[in-house]
Amino acid sequence: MDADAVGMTSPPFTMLVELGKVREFHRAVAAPGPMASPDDTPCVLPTFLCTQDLWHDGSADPIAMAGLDVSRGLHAEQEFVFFGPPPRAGSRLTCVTRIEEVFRKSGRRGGDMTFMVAVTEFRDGRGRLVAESRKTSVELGEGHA
Amino acid sequence: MNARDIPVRPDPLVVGPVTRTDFVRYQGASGDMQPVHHDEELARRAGHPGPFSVGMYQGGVLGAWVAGWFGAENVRRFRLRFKERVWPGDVLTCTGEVATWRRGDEGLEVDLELRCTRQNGDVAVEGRAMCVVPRARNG
Repeated sequence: MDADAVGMTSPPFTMLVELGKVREFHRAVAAPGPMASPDDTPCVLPTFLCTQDLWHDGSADPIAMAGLDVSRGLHAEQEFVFFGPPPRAGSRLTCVTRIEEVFRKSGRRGGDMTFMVAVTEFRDGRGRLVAESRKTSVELGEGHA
Repeated sequence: MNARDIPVRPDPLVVGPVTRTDFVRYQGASGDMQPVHHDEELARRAGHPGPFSVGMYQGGVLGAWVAGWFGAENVRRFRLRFKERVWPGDVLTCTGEVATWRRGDEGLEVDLELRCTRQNGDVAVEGRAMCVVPRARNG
């Protein structure tokens, strides 16, 4: 992984929160409760914004941005922060991903681990920050099982 | 919703036994098509006994359970730490409880501690969340 990746910022991209995708996601995570009907504009489930990856061409993929070796990569942590009710179906969001932090740690079983924190900001049509996604990835060093 | 109607420790949600189809359905829904989660040959070549779940699948199940507890519109923060892998045939149980609460700008702010465990007790995902109970309706 490239330690100089800190501060790298993706080009902005647009994400539409589509009802069909909201319903598909609802079913995929075995959500309790009824599915939204065609006239509903439900708030998205807490992890729905990970579908952002369907809305860029790879240029906002933090793993590619930082040159992380995917064969030694793991998803360690994920956080979503909402600055009000989560976006509703029908929302149009502008998204930008930046590499916020890269740091190294020694693993319990030997070998270094490199951590990367990537933050995606989601803004509404008025430019208001409505949500943030924080993804922590790890690249295991040589010597890891 | 009224604060006193919200359980401090709701009934657990049991999901499964989970299947490779569940993983693939989640992959399609999320857009994360990493082949190690569905391609048997590739998973074995990479040293795994077979395909295992995307962490965000069980993370998403836990998130949906929290949304059912407080209402999706009331979730303000949701954090996951991935601990153990989930395999086809696993039965997942989501549990959680209210850790603390306080008065905030929007009403009551409630911190939750959450877990998604496998049938053998292994914690697959550890979670924390903050949900609000809006002032106008928190009785």
